[in-house]
Amino acid sequence: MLDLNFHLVLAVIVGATLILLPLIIGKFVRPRIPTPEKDAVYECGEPTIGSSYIQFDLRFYVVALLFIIFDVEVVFFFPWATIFGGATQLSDASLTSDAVRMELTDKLTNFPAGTATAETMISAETAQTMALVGFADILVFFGVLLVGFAYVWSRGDLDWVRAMVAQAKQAAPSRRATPSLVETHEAQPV
Amino acid sequence: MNEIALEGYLGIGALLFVCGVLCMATKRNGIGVLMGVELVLNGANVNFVAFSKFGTLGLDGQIASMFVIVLAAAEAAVALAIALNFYNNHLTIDVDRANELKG
Amino acid sequence: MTVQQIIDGLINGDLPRAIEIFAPELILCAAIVLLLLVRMIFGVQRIPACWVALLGTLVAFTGVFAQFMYLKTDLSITGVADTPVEELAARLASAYHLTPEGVGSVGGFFTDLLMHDQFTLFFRLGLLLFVVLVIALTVLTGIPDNDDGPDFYTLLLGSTVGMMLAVGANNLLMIFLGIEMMSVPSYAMVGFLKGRRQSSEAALKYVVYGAGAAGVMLYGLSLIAGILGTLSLPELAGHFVTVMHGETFGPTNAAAVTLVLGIMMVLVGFAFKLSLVPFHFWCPDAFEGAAAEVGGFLSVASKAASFALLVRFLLAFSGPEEVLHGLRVFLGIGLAVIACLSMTLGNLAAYTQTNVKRLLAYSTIAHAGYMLMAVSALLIITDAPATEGWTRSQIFYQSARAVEGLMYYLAVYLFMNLVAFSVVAILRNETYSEEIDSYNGLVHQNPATKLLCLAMLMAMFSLVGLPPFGGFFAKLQIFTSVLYAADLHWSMWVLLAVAGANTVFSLVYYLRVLKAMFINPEPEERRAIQTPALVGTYIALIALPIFLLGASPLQSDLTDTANYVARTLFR
Repeated sequence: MLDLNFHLVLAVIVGATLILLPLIIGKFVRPRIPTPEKDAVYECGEPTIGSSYIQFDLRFYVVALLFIIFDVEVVFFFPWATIFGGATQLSDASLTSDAVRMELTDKLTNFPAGTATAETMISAETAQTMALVGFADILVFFGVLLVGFAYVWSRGDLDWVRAMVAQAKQAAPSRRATPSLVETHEAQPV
Repeated sequence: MNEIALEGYLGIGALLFVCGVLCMATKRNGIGVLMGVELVLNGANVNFVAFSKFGTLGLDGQIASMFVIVLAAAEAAVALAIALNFYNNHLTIDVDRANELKG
Repeated sequence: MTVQQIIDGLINGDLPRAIEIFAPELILCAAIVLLLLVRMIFGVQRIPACWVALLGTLVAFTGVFAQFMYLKTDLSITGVADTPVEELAARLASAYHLTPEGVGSVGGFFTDLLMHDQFTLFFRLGLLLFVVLVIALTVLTGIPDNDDGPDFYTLLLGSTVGMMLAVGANNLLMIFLGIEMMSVPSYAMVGFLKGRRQSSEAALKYVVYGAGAAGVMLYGLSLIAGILGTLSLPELAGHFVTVMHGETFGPTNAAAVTLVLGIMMVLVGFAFKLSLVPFHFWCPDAFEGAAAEVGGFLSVASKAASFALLVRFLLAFSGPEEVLHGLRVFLGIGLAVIACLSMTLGNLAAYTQTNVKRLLAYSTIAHAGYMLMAVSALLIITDAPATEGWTRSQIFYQSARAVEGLMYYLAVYLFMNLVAFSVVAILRNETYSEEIDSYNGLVHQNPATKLLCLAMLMAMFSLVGLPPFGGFFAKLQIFTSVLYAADLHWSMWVLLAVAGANTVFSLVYYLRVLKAMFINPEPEERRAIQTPALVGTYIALIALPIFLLGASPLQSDLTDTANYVARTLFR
């Protein structure tokens, strides 16, 4: 245990020294004759074009925002999948062995092995209902997500080249204009 | 290897929390503040998962952390959208420059 | 919980009951999905989003109304209706197929994640009524425009669902979920006026503060959950007593210190939502930058939901044990200090404002302080030990009175603030300004502006707490509760004195707005202000309850209802 830590620390120290030492020696030994050519940022041997501190296209951010939402929702599928899988397994009517059934029940309800008894174990019919309810749940969940996705799509937020003209044509004048707010209301990239 | 005790996890959680709070307090960049928030949320997440492993919290702690992950993502998305909107209007995301409203 | 209970909870008994209770929220969710679908399929021109949203909230409102009356009038037991209102409720109840096993049985649902009781129902009812009124206001003032309607109402309804979850929270996780679900859409709503510099700045400030407060709150929740080993609110007190091993509550006990630290972190989150000092900085900026309609929504709905949640969270620590009493007194005094600071700072800062929305924001901060007094008194009174010399029935009665005061205050506050923000929104559409100076001499212009000024007068007088308006009785109830609590702890005298001084002082800045409207001369070059008859009717309709809740049988009706609801909390 101690050996391992010691080796690790030793390796880090030696590695750092071996990198830093030539750099430090070089700093003191090398002649210092700076020219504009030398100071320039290296870009594959080509002359550089502009600064590297540029703003990325805003569309990248929009796509990233949409991605993160739909991506993270998937995390809810994991607990659902364990329950649904366990319930489906238990709903198999050909599973007649009580011992196996009790073991699976404990797994599904997350109790220590041996908690379920012959009375409390989940029967095939109960498991069937459970699986169906779970399936309906996930369909609703996924359905709502799909509606959101379709909405984003139909609004054109996923189009890379967004036809601003078409959108401007679509936007009809509002029912009762509130000039103080409309005057600065210009078409936004986002 | 030794089994890491509850204190170790709680230490990590507390460290993340303190880093996050410091980040929120000192960063002038709006995105930097939001990164601090993420650190704080993840510090709490580490706590939840640690307590669910060692304490009597059971699966509740893990489910809690899962909900927190999703909420954090939702919040980050809304916050980033608002930061972009701010950038469009002010051409900066420096929170100290958000000083037109005061009194 | 045993295996059998979990299985039963998951499929057999709980689900149909839970769905029956949860139906109004599901209706709102369906309305959100419908809003998006309608826009995709028909476009915004043929079916404006506001009607879909209004219909959805109205249906949900009738659902909650039926549920509330079903429990209140014991329709489940007798099935006999006496008054027209009960008759209507009975019809609704049968239309919604309410059953004694479902809505009729009070208790947790969805495996005890949420709580179904009269307290929750009262707040759900108030929230939905308020959202219906806000949507009506947005239809009248034309914010948002037709094109942005679906987005705006999606956010509004989403926030409402979050609030309804929050008032029913029975689990630490649900507290966080509820707070976040009501906050995240409201961040976007504050920044909804696209292309307006102030709006985007307000939203950025709101989201930065809000996200920070939510993070701290979650960390506090994780500490509480860890030290007590449970997420369920009803179990917290029992676990705390066990964890303390009979030791006394004090700064030398590690468990007590950790728990207090956790609770204080959670209270940071609450203080942010309630815009209490020192977490109030976002409030004036967010209100000034956002549309007045959104400001009105935030100032009432999110405050009401947060107060309900705060009461439920703090009452989780009720119990006769000495350690719990120590904890409650500590928290009660802490909240009293925050209440004093909020009132004083809110009123002082409001004095120098020139923008009406900013002034109302500071008034909101001050009112949050007044309402927090009730919570503070509640903590001092609830389950006070017998050594203090109070009888059990006295404690029960006074605890219920404190909650009743809070509920009455919130009910009146709903109308006061809605009227104030509506008048601001309507005048903004006409004068393009939200400065106090732009209201100069409005009362002299025409009958429509006379009505607006009169409504503003009622709202402001009620906000100060002048009789005969509702605000007077609301303040009276809370002050009485604090007076009784002063019998148990001396610090409540200080709270009472500060609150009294603040009430008098607040008169000054409310009168400034009224002076501009009624006394200042009218400027020469003002364009004529025209308000449609419908707008006038709306204002009259929402201003009337301010008066009725102060000087009509409705006042005792609401007091009785609030008292009945509050009593159920302390069974």
